[in-house]
Amino acid sequence: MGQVEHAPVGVEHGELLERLYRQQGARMWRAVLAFSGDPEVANDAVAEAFAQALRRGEAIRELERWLWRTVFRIAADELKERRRERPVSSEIAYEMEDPARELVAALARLSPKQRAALVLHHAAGYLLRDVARMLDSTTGAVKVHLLRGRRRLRELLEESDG
Amino acid sequence: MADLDERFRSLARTSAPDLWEAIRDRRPAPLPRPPIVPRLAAAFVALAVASAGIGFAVVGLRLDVRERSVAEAEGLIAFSGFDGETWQIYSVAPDGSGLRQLTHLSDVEAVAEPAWSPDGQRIAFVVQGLREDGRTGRSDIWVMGADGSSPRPITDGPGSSFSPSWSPNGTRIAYVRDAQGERPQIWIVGSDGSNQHAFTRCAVPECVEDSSPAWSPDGERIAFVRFSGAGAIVPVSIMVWPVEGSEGVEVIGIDDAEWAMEIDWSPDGTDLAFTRSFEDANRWGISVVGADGTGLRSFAHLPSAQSPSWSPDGSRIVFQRMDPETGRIGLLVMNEDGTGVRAIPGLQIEATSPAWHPVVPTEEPWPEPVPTEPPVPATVEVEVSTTEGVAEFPSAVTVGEGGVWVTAPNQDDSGGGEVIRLDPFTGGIVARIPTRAAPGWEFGGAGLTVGDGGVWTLGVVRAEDGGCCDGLVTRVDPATNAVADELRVPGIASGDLWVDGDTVFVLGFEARGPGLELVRVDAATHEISWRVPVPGQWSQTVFVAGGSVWVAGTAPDARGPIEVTTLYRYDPATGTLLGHVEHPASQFTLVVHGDAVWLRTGDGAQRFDALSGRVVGEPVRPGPGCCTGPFVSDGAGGVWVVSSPGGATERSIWQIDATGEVVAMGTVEDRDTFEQMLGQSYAFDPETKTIWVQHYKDSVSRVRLLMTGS
Repeated sequence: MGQVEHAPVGVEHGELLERLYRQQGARMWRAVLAFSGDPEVANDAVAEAFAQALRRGEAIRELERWLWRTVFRIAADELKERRRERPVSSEIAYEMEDPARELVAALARLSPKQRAALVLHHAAGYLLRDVARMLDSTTGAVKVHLLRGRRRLRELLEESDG
Repeated sequence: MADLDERFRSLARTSAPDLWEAIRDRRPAPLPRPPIVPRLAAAFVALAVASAGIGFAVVGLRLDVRERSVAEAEGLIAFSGFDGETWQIYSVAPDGSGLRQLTHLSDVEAVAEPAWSPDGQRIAFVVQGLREDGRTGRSDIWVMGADGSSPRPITDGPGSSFSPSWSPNGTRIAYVRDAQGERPQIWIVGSDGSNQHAFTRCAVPECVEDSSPAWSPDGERIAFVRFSGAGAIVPVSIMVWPVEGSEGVEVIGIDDAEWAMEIDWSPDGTDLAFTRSFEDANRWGISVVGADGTGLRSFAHLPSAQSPSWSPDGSRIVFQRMDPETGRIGLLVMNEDGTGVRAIPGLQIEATSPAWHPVVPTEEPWPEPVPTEPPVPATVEVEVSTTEGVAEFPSAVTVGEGGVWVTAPNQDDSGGGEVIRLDPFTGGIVARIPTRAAPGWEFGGAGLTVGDGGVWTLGVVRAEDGGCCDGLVTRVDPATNAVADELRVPGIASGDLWVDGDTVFVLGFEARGPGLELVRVDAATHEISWRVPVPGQWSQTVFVAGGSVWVAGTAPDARGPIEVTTLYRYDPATGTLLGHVEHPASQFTLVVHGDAVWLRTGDGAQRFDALSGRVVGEPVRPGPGCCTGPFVSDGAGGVWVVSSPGGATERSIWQIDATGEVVAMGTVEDRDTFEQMLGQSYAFDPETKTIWVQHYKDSVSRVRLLMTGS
């Protein structure tokens, strides 16, 4: 966390954000894809979070953490909206390797807490402490979510292999 | 096959689209603003006066003896309430009794921001009109009697006037005027509408906007919020200005805030409570600061709280708060140190901008209140003790057959586990019963139940051909503390089970497919009568009620994140799917005791009639959001629920009886005690009035409920 928290002297806010997007945008997008199973939700959540950050200018402290939190909040809202409007397809219409595709499909079958913990820790690279803060939980509970989530993922992926 | 870490690496190789162009061109959604109706007035400067007529009706304020008693003892709270069509002024006692609608204005956008006169005889408020085109128009300050009588405007433009605050002698009112050609700034007007004059002069660049005036109890100062613009070092300050002269100006900079508003003086004039943003404009809450600028403290544990108003004795604060789940706004009361948060019960309408009646209680006794229905709920206190070292990462707890039963899978790869029996009175470990299958699971019905003289769990073992997997139902005999029987259900992975007489219903994931199955097994012969697929991608609970077998799971066509929203109904004899019921509101958790089924959603606890297959009555909840921690049957057709809509500070426990009435309630002041009440699974023992809490790691807590009163 925190590689570009504050703008170096002479760097415009927009420039700083673009730099942050180049560094983190893809990782953020993949994390939302893994969480939502929907590339459209990932596109929308990442674009909206960065667009919000652009408009707010320097009012945002801890820009990077704010972006991560915001992108997941938007994704969760978006998922709810989409489910209201139409059923979400279980097939991910996006070009990716089979192991990743199967992983995302299996993640969708975990409980939301396990999925969020796994995505934030393994796909987004958050420390347990940060995952706990984001999930309003404790590091102990996050560990259990990870342990059980990984165990369940293995079962599910073994099934799909078998 | 690829291992898990390789799969995550594969995910990391997925190419992401370049969205930067789209981000730069994107028009983001509007910034969220706190839900204050009259604040809208500031955005509509100097609009033409609404020509629509304003109709009015007065409802007299007649309090019965009990309401009078509560009002006299604690003071009424006036607020702006939304009945689904319009915002009007209401009053209510702090215990939720005596709700009265004081205004009935029609053809207006909103009636809001009530402010009691210091003697409690009058209320100033804001009426926001409608323009001819139906859009929001400008607002004015009105004054009426405390019973809603004789309402009349005391300002008539120019521009919009809002946020009234009385001088302590009741002769003048400070307010914000936002008119064309001037910045929003503080004005003063006589309470009869005479002698309007500006109190502050707000001019760029020092000042962008003045707002939220609050007249001090000693009458000598007015506090207000000054916004100096985004470029200022401290953009938001609370100014405390003398009403006369220029001595004693105090400037309290609110660091880390993008905005602040809604100031209220403590009755002794030492502190100011106000609403402010935290970190960024998305988050807001209440802070209190000394009128001399010292001792700033923030109630950041109450996100989205706003509009504080002190009780007449200064011991408590009423405020409004938006439920983060439903977006609904309600009123809550807390102690002035931020503890003891509780909702004003029974408010069925949305409520904003509360103002606590300023009159200090008189010593004159009122007649004894006449008891009215419903009866006052009994008081509950909790006493918690914890048994450590029960098992590493246990999975579930249940109560019955003279014991408390905990399941725990082995943490090595042996695949087995144990059922641990605890003493229902002491929580001590009575027996550890090894099982071949890892018993229980941490979802829904927990794969653990008591019935027909046994303790039953579902676990998973290797299939007889060595592949994955078979379900294994294990029956533990409470008389011997040993495994008495095992029933193999081929092709089932983890899930839940229910025992009804000598029949076992097993719900499990297909071991070699993506779906779920419901299986009926005869407990005596081990024969499988039928097995049928269950719709949906995830189910987690099976139970029998109202003569049907029910399975709780995701909706038939739902994909993506798991939300248990649907109950599927099966014929127990044939396994025929008879239909399904989707909860209209949201996902739920459920408890079952006999035929009494309760669902808990974000709106509260609600009974489900298993005969008709319908949700019955209104949801009941112990606060603006619902709920956390234990949700258990009370063993008599009702349930226990525990609040915590806003984190760990609103700690209360409620018993709701079979008719939906709250029959017992209590608060849990101590945070550690409360945290011990939160676990992974729960069970209630009606004999010892104890909630058993199974924690994630290795312990089980015993929460004894000590009842006093009716």
